[in-house]
Amino acid sequence: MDPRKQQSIDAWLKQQAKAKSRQRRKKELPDDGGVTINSLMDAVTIILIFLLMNFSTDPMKVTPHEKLQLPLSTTMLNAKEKTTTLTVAADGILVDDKPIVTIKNNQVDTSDATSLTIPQLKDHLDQVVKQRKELATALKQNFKDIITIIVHGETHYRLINKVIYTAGQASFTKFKFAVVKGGQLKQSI
Amino acid sequence: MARKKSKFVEQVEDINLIPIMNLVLCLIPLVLFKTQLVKIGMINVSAPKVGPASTKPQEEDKDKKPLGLTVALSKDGFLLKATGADLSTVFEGQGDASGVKIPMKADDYSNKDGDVKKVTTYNYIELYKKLLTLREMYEDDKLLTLTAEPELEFKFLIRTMDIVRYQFADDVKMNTIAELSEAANNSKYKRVEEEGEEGDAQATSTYKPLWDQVTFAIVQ
Repeated sequence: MDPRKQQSIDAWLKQQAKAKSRQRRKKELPDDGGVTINSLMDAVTIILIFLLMNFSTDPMKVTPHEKLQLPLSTTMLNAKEKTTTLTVAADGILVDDKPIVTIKNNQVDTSDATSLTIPQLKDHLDQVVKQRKELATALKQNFKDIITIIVHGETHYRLINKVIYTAGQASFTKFKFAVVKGGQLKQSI
Repeated sequence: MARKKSKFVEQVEDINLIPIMNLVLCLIPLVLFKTQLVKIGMINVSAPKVGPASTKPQEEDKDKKPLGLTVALSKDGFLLKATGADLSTVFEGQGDASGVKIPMKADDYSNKDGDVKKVTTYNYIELYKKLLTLREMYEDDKLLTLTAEPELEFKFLIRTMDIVRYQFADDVKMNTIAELSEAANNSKYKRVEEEGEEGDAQATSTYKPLWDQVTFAIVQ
């Protein structure tokens, strides 16, 4: 064979071998060094589902804060239905999250200390009952005279007395007290 | 002649998850803000009685006379009263006509760090034992009235309600408040089987009540 031809064939073969080894080396390298977000996506989706489940199954929401520390209890009963809520925080009384009266040192600001009724609360509860009764009539249902009372743990019995009495005057006959489940007696003596 | 297989392979690109990821990450704080991580429970309370507990003797047959049990909380302890019976004769040598006093008790208190110290607290164990005795004597009575000093904090009433409503299992030790607390937390209550209604063969199991119908006395 012509030595020139032989040389060019050798050169071509060398080139091919180099190209192949380059390709092989390229394959062995990791993809591109980017972050894999699939596993992160899985974790985030699980968290989202957990939060959504928690969010959708509670008919009543209470956000404890400094002025509303619910007492601990070992009760096993859950909040099953949505009712009228009466919140007695350290600084005020709310009906369905609407502030009605303010409280200072465990006493209602404007009511007569000797009277059991809290007039502003009674007026507002009367309105609520009226609205609920109208709604129940329109929907051909019975009016449910249940009220859920959410009370700050350090509220004095005197004030609870007044609140219950006032709610009773506004034709509520069934009372439910909201508590934080799983409380230990020994931790809160 | 057989056709040569094409070496060309279509490259499939991965789905771009970044927009979905952005959306999900925006949703998490929103839901987190709206969700609550504390579990809220309920305690049912019967409609309250208005006025002080009646001391007038009732004209009904003595055997059918309701007990009219009241537990009053004060800063010194519990006071057990009953309109339908003289508790000082039931619990011989304890109390007088005004009722039976259960004074506060010094008990071990362990905080979250596990440090134990002595504190004076309500004697829930003694209250439970006395209520259990009364339950055995007055099987048909269910109503218990709770009342307290005006300045007493609501959390003590809730704790008392936790103790008075159900009967603990026989194997529960009651030497300290911590033992009683552990039993209550793990729901170590006595169980009773209730037969289903006619046609419903399935029996249900519920906790055996102690004084489960609790009401508050409204005192002027």
